[in-house]
Amino acid sequence: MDILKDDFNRELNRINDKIQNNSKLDEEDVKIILLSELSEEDLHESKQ
Amino acid sequence: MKASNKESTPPQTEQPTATLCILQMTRFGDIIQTAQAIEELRTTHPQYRIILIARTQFAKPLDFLLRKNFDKVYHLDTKKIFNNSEINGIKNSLDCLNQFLGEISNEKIDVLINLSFSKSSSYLSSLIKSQHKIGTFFDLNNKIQINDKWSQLVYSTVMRGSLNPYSMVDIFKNIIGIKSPEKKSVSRIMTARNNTIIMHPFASQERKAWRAEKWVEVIYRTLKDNENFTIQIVGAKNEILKSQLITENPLLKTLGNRIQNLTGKTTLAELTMELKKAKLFVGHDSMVGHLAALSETTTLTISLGSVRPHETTPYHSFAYNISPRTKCFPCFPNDACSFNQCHHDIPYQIVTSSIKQLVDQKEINSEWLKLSVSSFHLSSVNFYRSGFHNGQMILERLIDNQIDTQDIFRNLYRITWSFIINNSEEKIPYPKLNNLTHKDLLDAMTGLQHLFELSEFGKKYSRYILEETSSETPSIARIKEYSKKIDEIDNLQAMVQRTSPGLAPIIDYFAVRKANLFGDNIVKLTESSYYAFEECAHLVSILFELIENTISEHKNGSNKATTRSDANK
Repeated sequence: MDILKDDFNRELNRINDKIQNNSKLDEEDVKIILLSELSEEDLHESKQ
Repeated sequence: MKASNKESTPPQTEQPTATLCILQMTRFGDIIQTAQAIEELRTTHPQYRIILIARTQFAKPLDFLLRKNFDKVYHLDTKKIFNNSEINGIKNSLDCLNQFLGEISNEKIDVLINLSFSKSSSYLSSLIKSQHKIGTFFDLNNKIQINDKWSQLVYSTVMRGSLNPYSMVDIFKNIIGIKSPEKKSVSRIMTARNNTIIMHPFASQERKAWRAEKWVEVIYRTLKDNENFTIQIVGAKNEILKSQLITENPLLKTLGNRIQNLTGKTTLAELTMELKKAKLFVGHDSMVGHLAALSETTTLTISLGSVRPHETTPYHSFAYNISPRTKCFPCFPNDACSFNQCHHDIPYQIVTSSIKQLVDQKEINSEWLKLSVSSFHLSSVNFYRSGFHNGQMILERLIDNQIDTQDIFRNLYRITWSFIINNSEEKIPYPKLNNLTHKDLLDAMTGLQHLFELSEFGKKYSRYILEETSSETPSIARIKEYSKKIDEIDNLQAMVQRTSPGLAPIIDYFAVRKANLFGDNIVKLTESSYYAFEECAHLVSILFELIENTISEHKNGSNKATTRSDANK
């Protein structure tokens, strides 16, 4: 079980809902998105 | 630039006047090119404190270079951030990120410059406090913001096709605002260098590198042609197996004592020192070429696949580039390709002849190519040599009878962008046209006429909105109607791209420009929209005039040729 993946899914869904509702994001939301992007980049790098 | 472990401290002044923070989150090559741009800033503005934020895995191995150009380097260590995160979840990662951001917040940053154009760097940029921000960042509506024109240009054109005329180093310099003086001619004492050719026959993707067999041919011929030379093969640890496919090839068995396989055996600092001692570097597009550029070691780059030579050819005065004239070159990284036609379109003989010429301490020019290389081999390649104009690098074409539409457009865009954004003039001679390029330019003129008319309409409806908002009884319905017209104009501009693909950079640039209008109310946004349309009309007029003059020159040339032949009769 990958707890980070689960956390990302939950948090990104919450953030997506905010975006859909035209609500402003806060810094904590941006940090979650940043971590998710960094994690994806790392995964991509490891495949190269 | 000199690469040495000994020179470790950047030039210091007593009291820095401002702190510039450079954000460069991409790979080795981009970090080296960023350092090249910053080196010039150090010379022209020694009073600035310049800090760098980069990812640990790419910045740490380049520490020997970065500590010369940056006052401080902050490493974003994702290995640490995601350590045991599968078990611990996001909380530890967040704590680690907060700790990193806490360290950065101790800096009083005046200008944050994001040079990476990746999503992660744009989000990181939005989390860092700074008085001014250059480059991409996200606002709290999750909308990407790009306020400076050079970054808008890069965002709209660099990853979108092959019509960007600028080297990445010059793009970085333009974004930062570094005005380079005219580059002085560099003299090198080549006799002090070893009779060594360094080769890096690998690249980050298969489509960017020849197969081992082709490199075996190059190495075999090079060693036969240059009896006093040895070859060092260099690369990363993950390229060791690929290097063995070359060194253990039976064809090279008798020459093994003149091949040194250093793949996976050197640090980047050691590799830089080896490059400094060598007479020539030959390889594909990779960071090794950029390291060679630091010590002005002649580079011969073979560009394949998705590589765009004008952007990534090593930035120095002794760079040569061979790229294929394959129709689909350069492709995009995700394009399907099973045959790699571009790999076959560069014959190895042109590479080995060029190596011989360069290790004999001679330059490669058009005359030499015509005399020494079979036109059969030349017909499928473009051959470029670096030069500097207005302090910026240009790739001069050495086979001038094959100029294609993309090359013509790149030159025209270089003149146009420099004039519009930097207010500087580029003196580039008119290109020679053939029937095909002539037709492409005529088609582009039609597209430019449409774009100009649309921009004028855009100005007109922006003005109507401004007039309506300033009237005593503004009509919301009329403002909506005019806004709808402006949306239609935006869509029509995008449609011009289908019939005139050469105009994509202008159209994409204005899409980005219009997405980043200034203002927080309808009047300011409309004023900004008006100026964007005006800039579009101005840009289109300049490009139109340049094409018109190019065609006139072509016609004058043709008429003169006709007159001469008539006179001969």
